[in-house]
Order: sequence, then C-alpha cells, then structure tokens
Amino acid sequence: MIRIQFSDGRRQFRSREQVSGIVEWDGGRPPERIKVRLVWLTEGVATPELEVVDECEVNVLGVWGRAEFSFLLPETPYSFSGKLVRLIWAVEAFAGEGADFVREEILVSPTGREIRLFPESSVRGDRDDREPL
Amino acid sequence: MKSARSLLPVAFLAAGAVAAYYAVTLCAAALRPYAWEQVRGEILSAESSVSQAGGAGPPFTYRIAYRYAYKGQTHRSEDSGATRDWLEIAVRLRKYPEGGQAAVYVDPGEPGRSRLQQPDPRILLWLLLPFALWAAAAGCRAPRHAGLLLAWGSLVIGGGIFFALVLEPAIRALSASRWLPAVCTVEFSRMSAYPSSGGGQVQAGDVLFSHRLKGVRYRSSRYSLESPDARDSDDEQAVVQALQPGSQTACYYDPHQPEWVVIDRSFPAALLPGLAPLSLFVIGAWVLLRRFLRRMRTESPPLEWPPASPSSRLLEPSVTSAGMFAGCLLVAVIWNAVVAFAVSRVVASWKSGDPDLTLAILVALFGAVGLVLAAGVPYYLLGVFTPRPRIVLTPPAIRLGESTTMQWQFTGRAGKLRRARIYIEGSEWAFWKEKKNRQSHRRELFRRIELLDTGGPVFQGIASIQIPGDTMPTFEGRNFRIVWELKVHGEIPFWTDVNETHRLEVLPAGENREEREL
Repeated sequence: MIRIQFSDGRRQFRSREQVSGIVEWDGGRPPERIKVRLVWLTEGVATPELEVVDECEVNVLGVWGRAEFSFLLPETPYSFSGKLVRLIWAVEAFAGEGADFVREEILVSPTGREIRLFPESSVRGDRDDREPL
Repeated sequence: MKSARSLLPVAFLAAGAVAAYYAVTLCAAALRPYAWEQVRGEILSAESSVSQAGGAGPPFTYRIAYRYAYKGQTHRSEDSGATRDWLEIAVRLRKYPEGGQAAVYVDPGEPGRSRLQQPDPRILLWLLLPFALWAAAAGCRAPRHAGLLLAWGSLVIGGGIFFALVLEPAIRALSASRWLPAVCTVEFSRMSAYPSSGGGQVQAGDVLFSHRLKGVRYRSSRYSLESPDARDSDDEQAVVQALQPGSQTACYYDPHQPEWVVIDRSFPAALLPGLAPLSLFVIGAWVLLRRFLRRMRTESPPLEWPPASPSSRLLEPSVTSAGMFAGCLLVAVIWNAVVAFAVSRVVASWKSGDPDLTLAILVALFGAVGLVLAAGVPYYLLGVFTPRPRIVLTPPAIRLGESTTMQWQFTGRAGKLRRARIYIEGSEWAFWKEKKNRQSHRRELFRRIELLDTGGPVFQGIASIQIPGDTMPTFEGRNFRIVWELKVHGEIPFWTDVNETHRLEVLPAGENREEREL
C-alpha cells in the first residue's frame, strides 16, 4: 500500500513554491521502485488532459519504508473551475502498471482558494459547496 | 504546448512545401525541352486527314515529317496527333508548310529526340499554389499583415490565371462581333463516343465546315468560340442535327487570322468564371495602390500621442478590416463564379427544352448563399474606411491584480464616430472531438470589464486596465484555453461600425503582489 504525506500537512501552494513530502509503502509484495509525479489534469466538457510537470523515482529497499520527494511548481496554471473545465493539481505515486496507485490533490492559487471563473456555478454542480483544501 | 491556432501556419507551411515539391517536379519535367538545343530543320511533308466514319477517337489527324542535322548527323522525325479541334491542325499547317524551314528543338543527350514546338509555359501556373499556401501561413503568423498578403496573393494569383488563361479567349470573344460573315458548307457532322474522365463513355458531336477566301479553303470544327471539348453534349446533339453534311450555313471568320471560323460568335458562357480571377486581380491591385498612395501622403503625427518606447506596446488587431474584406471578397467571387457557371448550364437546359430541375434547385440554394456573401462585400468594404483604433499599453504586459495604463486614439475618419466603447472579455474555451473525428468547441464568457464608454464623439484618451487577481491569466492547454481579449466598438451613423478585437496576454500576478499568506 502506498501513501503520500505532505510536509506539515500543507496542501495549498502558490506558484513557484516547493511541494514536498514523503511517500510511504508497506505490506504485500514490495515493488522494485515507486514513481512519484506532479501533475495537473482537467475534467469537464473538454477532452480530458493530463500534464506531467515533474516526476521522480524512489528505489524500494524493503517491505516497508518511506522516501522524500520535492517538486517545484511552475507559474501557471492555477487550480480553477469554470463552466466547461476544472483544472486540478495533484501528486501521484504508483508502483507500475496494475499496481498500487494513489493521487492526492493539492491546490495551486495566489488566493488560497480555487479560482472560480463563475462565482455562481462551476463545472460540476454537485461540488459547488466545495471548501478550500 | 501548441494550440490549433499556432499549428495552422505550420500546416500551411507544410502543405506549401508538399505543393512546391510536386509543382516544381511537374514543371521541371514538362519544361525540360526548353533546355534542348535549337537547330534549323526542313519540313518534308505536312498532311492532315478527316475520318468521316463514326467510331472511337478524334476525327482529325495530322502528321508533319521533318529533317534536321545535329552534330554532323541527319535525323528524321515527325510531329503527329489526333484532335477534335481542327484549329490546332490549321495553325500547324500554316506554321509548318511542306518544303519550308522551321526551328527544331533537339535533346542533346538523345539527338534522335526532337520536337517542333516548345511545351506550353502556362504549366508554370502550378507554382502559384505553394506561394498561395505560404502567403496564408505568413498571414496566420502576422494577422496585421494578412490583408497585405491577401492583396498580393490576389494580384499575383488572379493576374496569373487571368492573363495566362482568360485574357486571350476573352479578347477574341469580344472582337468576334467585328468578324466578317461568310457562307460555310458543312462537310460532315457526327456524334461519337469518347472515353469520359469517370471511366465510361460520353457522347460528343463533331462537325467540320469550310468556306473559301481568295481561293483558299478554310476549314473549322468550332461551332462556337469554345473549344469542342468544352461544349455540352446536349448542345452538340442539337448542333449535329442542325448541320447536315452538304448544307450551307452562315459563318464568321477573323480577317486577321482566317483559320478562326465559327458559326455562333456569341460570348461563351464558359468564360464567365474567368471574371473571378479578374476580380481578384483588380481588387488586389486596388488595395495595393491605395496603400501606396496612403504612404505617399505625409501624415502628421497625432497630437498628445506618446512616442514609441520599450516600456509601452502598440496592440495589434487579431483580424484587420482589410483582411475581413479581402476574405469575404475572395469567397464571394469564387462562390458566385461557380454559381454563375451553373446558372448558364441551367439556362442552357431550359433553352434546349429539357430543363434540369435538380440542378435548378441546387443553383437556387447555392445562389441564395452567394447573394448573402455578395451583400457582405460592400459591408466589409465600408469597414476598410472606418477609423482605426490605436491602443498603447504601458507597461507592455498586463498582470493580474496590477494596473496598466491604456492610451487610446482613433485615427483616420475619427470625426465620423458617434460613440466608442472599449472593454475586456475573459472567456474559457473547451475543445473536444465528436463522432467521425469532428472537432467541436464551446466558449463561455466569464468576465467582462468595461474600460470606457465615451457616450459621445471623443476620439482619444487614457484609461486604466486592472484585471482582478482572483481570476485566471491567459493559458492554452491542448483542449482548453483561457482567453483575454480587448474589444473596441465604435458607432458610426449610416456606416459599418468599428469592431476590432485585440488578443491580450494576461500574465499571472507578479512577485511583488504576493504578500498574502495562504
């Protein structure tokens, strides 16, 4: 099982800040290596898009363990939601095809909240009451 | 990350490169005889024949045998062929009389290979295609110059096609009203089957008639000024029935080129689409001339206008009014030329007593679209003469949450403006593919920021732009975009309004504005 923990539990970031934390694994048959990556992805009307901004690999030396990761955020894009598209930032960790995969969302914005292009609605109505992470 | 917008010029460049490759290859192969050596030759015999029996193949044949010496060796060769157009034979027989001398073009690598005539240089027109595509690529890259490129493209392409293909037959058709009348005797007429481009067979009529002038017999197979290959088979059926062998009919000949003999000297409908390249040429020349004259005029710099400096930026419109006009004109001319040609076919079918209703309905539908396009031409033409907004930003970049000074001014006939509005729009764009790989998109406007509304005839001023920090900067993903545009709208009574859009690059908030703690 793989888990991601961010430094100081922080999940809100500004552009060009460092996103750091640890990736932990335990139990079961240990994978040879774990890939950790910083991504942004979209959902909504537009064809889904996933952009890998940065990635690193962690060598697994035992049944359980932990390793640090650190990524530098670019200037854009921000986390935002509109009527057509919602853009989400996340850190993902996976151990290979068909193996464990975990995605932890983060927020990248100069305001501390997800940018809402339309204050009255968002791309997914059922998430209108979403609070800042 | 390339967007479709930025890929368009690349696509045009690539298409231009492919077209250039094929055009150059085609022209080089076809025009190779121009590199051959020219020697004097002697015409040994010049014969023509008419196959009166029905059957496949053109009814008229010719054979010109000639002899020439090259590097001490004598060679014999012949120029022969079959045609439906007797004019081709008549011109050859006049140019290469038996016992006469003629220029012979010899392949130096294979001296036995030669020809009497050089290939038609009009094949070079294919070279216009890659240039048109490259001009389109340049126009996409620099929208400000798109109008200029379109004008040059119209001038070169329209002029090239018109002067090479249309001018000579058009002049002949116009001068045919002054041709002299004669009485022609029909020698033969028949309907024959010819292979069609679709692989089947098509019926076509051939006629041959002649008259005598100063003791010389002049033959012709041209019922009208059109080439026999350009005529409609229904028309030809009627012509063949009307011209029975042995009968006599009125005909007209060109006193300067007596081998030109026709029965119907009316202006050919097939030349009407030739107005399209002529219009392109005239419009291109007009736009360039107007631009040249405007540059010749000394324009006094506007008062209170800041000098250009690295700390400011003049905004360029996404599409110029000249570009809009040229685009509309190009589409309207091409569309309506095709419709005009179709109309002539419909009229011909009605005249023949066998109206083509399906074609008539299609022509009516396409004609309606053509009328709308034609109506757009004067509308956009007026737009060319509207005042032009000049907008300068200081500092040149717009950042979220920061102020930018916008100096604006209308140039040209600014006195005609009744009112002006300038505003900024932010919109999100989504792109996706539907069935059959069809690309779809949708746009949602999420922010409109009113910058100014003059409410009256004010032609210049200063305003401040501030885009709030709680929104998105400009961004282009593969399948979505955040787009910011500055729009200028000017009302002009009884004239086309000013409507100009400038794409803005809105940058993220700067470092000095990020004092907020999360």
